[in-house]
Amino acid sequence: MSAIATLADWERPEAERIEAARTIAASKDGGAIPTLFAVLEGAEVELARAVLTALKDLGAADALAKDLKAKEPEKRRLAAERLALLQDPRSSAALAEAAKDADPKARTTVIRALSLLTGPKVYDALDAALGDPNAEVRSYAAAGLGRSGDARAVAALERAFEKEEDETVKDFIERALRRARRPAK
Amino acid sequence: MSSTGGVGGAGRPAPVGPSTSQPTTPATPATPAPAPAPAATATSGTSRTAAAAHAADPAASILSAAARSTTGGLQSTALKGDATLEAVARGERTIAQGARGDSVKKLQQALMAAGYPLPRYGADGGYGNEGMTAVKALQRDAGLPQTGTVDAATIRALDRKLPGGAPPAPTGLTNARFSGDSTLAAVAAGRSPLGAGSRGEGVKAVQQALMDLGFDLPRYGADGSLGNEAKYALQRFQQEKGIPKTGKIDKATLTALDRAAPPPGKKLETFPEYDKLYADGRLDTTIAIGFDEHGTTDLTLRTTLNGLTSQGYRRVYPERMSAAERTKLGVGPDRFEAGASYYHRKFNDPATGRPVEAVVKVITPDSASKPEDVAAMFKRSIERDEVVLYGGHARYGTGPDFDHIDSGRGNFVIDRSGNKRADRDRPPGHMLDHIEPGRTTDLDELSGRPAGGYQLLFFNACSTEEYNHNLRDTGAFAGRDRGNTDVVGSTIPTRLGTNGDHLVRFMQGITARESMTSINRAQSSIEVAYLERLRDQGATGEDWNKLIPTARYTYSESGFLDNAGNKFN
Repeated sequence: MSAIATLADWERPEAERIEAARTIAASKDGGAIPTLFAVLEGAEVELARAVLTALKDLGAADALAKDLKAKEPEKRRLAAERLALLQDPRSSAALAEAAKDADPKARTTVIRALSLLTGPKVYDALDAALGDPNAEVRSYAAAGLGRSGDARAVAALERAFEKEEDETVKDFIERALRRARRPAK
Repeated sequence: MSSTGGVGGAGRPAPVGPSTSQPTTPATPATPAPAPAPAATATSGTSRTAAAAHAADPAASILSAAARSTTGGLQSTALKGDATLEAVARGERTIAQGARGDSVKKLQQALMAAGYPLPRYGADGGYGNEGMTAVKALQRDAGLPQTGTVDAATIRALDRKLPGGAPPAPTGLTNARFSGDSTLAAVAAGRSPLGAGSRGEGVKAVQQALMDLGFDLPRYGADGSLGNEAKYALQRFQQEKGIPKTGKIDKATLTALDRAAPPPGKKLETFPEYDKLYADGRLDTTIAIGFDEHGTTDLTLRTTLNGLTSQGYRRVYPERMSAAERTKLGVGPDRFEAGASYYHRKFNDPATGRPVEAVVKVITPDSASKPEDVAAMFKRSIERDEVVLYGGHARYGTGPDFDHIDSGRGNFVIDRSGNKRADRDRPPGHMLDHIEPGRTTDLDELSGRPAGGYQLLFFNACSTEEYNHNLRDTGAFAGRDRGNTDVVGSTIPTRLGTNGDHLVRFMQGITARESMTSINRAQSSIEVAYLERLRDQGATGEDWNKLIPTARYTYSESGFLDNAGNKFN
């Protein structure tokens, strides 16, 4: 059984699948990237860690950052979706650049990916996205600001809450505020 | 092929001994029972005619005696009237290795006629290894101990397989899918159960019954071979019925299956207990979303809120309501959580037309400042709400979790030891290190259950089917039992990207009196469609294609078997 088949087979023991992920990482086979992402979505944490390592070793983040500039909106959206799973800080700049993608689906996914990262560029992009016309974009922007650890986040979220009319976005902002107000560890 | 650990079929071993004749050994000659009798003389490795063997057989005197006694009740033309065989049928003697004579010859002819070939020696009148192998196959098919010795049960089983043979003894099996099978009849009569490796039409009938009751066999189906897949399905059925979880087809299991299974060609369609859920005009529901290290928690929340909104739910604020309104919607002090959000919808019961107020409480890891407070909220939902949905990680079967895996603070521990099935991964030690030693389950902390008398739980997380064992074992879960709690779990890993879709689909079904069978079918379709999408995005072809069909059986039910309103279709 090939390493990629072993990795994909959710009926095989986790230890075997982790070993397969390592084998794939060592092989430098970029063709395995889609399967690695597919596996990541149904993986318990131990396997997920091995898959993420393999994706990093295969340079997935760099390839996906390039895809954020692709002509096809679906390709840009898929790249952002996968970057959201990677949560690689090195993707921050590329995602921040893509934060104003004209395609709403791609933009929503870019903001969701950004919401899982931190840093000055990320904060600025999320803060701006709080004013986006798309309710989903605003939801993820709020969630990201809640996690940002930035001292400005509470005030930004409070302002957004006052202006917000969409009840589900307000729900996100409330949760984000609760998170932002948590005492630091 | 189906089974792991399967015992081989009726493959006939090559005869042992000289090729010119069938060897016999004097180990266990024909044995009269219960009175002592001379043993049959066995001649090893010597070619003899059957007639000579018969003449020299001291057991012949016993046979003559048997001939004078009453019949043993054999009815087939091939066996009826033979004094020795009738005596065996009466339990007065047995035929064991080394026996010889005309009666043995008749026995051999009957075995061949019943489909148990003797390819090397045929009906030579000597009962040797080949005959024993054939008899063991017969015994296996009849659910009898595979001794190779012909006793009363064995000869009667053979008689039933022959033209003119006795009809199966009354077994109490009334379902037409089982009543004609002699193997199952023997099991129902209390003979040896059918365990791992058993094969035959009886096993196949049981497998089909399990599938028609909703206990899926996604890999091997009704292949007539009792392997691990069928064993687990049997254990789940046994769990449902409160009988020992042997994983075997035993008398208790078969009797329960006989009563529960639909008629041949029909399938069971299950329903939640909607009359009970809607009885008070309210549907108190919690949707709890667990923590995910890969950042899909927000995606799940957003999908869930979008779905609720599209189903007609609107955000409500209990803290701004009058006391009367809060009572009407069921969000009074007993059910109000400051950090949760609430969504309301009024719908009419499709069966009665009566209005039902549905209020969904939504809990996420950000519903409280401390993860342990979120876990406590979830606990209170289990204590109070009629319907509780959880979407998130199962943490190797240990239970829901509202914070990072490397913390025990947000866990609601259903079972510290986690997955029990041999083919599932166990919780890693470093994860358990974060849960306090001795904290085996939080279920025993529960105090109470919803007032309506019925609760419906849905766990959308990897392989949560095993939660059912913990959730349904009487005494482990504050007054819950198979009669008042129904649980839906998953049999395989589910995808993080579909979590919200499943929660929404469940909500759609339970406000429309949709059958659980139909809801679960739709849930599985969501998984299949998502996997197909991943495949189309480049997840590797052939192997992925092989795996996708198993996702059609993602969800499993527990507790629904005896619900009012269930139908056979």
